[in-house]
Amino acid sequence: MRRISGFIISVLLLLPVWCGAQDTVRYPVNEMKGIRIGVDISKLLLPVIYSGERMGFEATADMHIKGNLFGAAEAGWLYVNLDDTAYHYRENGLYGKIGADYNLLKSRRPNSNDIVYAGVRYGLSVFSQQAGQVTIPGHFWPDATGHSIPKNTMQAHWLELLFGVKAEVLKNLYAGLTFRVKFKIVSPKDNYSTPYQVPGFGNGNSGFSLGINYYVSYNIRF
Amino acid sequence: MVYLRFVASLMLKILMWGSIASIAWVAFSCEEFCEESNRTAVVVSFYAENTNASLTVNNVLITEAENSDTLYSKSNYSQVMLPVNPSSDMMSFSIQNDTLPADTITIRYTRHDGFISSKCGCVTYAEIQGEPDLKEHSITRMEVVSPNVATVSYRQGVINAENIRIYY
Repeated sequence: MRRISGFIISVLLLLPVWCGAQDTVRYPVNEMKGIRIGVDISKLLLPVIYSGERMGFEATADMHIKGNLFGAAEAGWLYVNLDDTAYHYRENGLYGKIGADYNLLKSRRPNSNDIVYAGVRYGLSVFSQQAGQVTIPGHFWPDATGHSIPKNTMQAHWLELLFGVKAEVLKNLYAGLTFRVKFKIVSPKDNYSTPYQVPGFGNGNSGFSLGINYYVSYNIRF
Repeated sequence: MVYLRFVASLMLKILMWGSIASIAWVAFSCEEFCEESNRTAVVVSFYAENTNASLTVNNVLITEAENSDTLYSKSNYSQVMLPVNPSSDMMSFSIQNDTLPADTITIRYTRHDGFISSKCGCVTYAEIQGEPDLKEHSITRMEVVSPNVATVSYRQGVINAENIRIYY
């Protein structure tokens, strides 16, 4: 009696798994082997969008760790050159980000390496700012010309939340769009000057920033 | 393969429209004017010597000590702003309270230039050094409350953090 009821209960418990298995065929989880290295081609548009004021470059790398998890990192630099009648302001800096992406795409096609992912990053930038040919308006007094702000170096740290897509457009070649929400943890410290931009983050005087990247990457298999 | 081509073409379209949108965004929505304050000034508040209470002085006349350029001409104030001279480490003003004899004060400071923003440009911050010189006629005493001279707001009703107190 007990053996029969035990058997019926086991069948009932296994029923959803059994039916689920009949519904969709499950292929092995994305096993992108090797490392994927790419470039953010939207950075090529910086000089166009900002009329020559900014120039930058960003590279990305990611690697499948286990299951739906990928380890990822980005690195880049930013150059800012503001030419105004009252100042010539320059910034130069590097940035790096490290974190992980989690693949959200559940239903798979055979041999599909496309992913839709959510991710997190820790970002850090080291950069410098300076200004020359500065004119300080005197208001009541005569304007002061020929001033300069000496070069000084500072850092910023932040956290990012990402959402993106990577699709394999040709064998081993991926294209993808990433949306980022960034929150500053450590603001760049300078007693007198607020940086115009923080490389890799965004506006120098806000604690929150949004970003879009368009990556083209190649999977190097090993 | 059809799926991949669709995704790739979709993303190219997103990139194209995204670029157009961001160029338009930057071109049309940038602030035209300096939104933050870009004036640094020594904030001077008036006080009554006998009560230590805030004092509204009538017919305040403040001029530059040497060439008599007028900064404040005969209105009533309890607080005035003396702009920092970005080319010098000291500045002198003649201050007259209504019909009382005028006083000459000299403020000494160290300067630091700073960049505020792309629209506002640069300013000169100052740190007041020592006590201001005073040629006494009507002012009983002066007190440096805060030596850090920062940007100030000239908007109606805004009370800026005071740097110096003048007692009558």
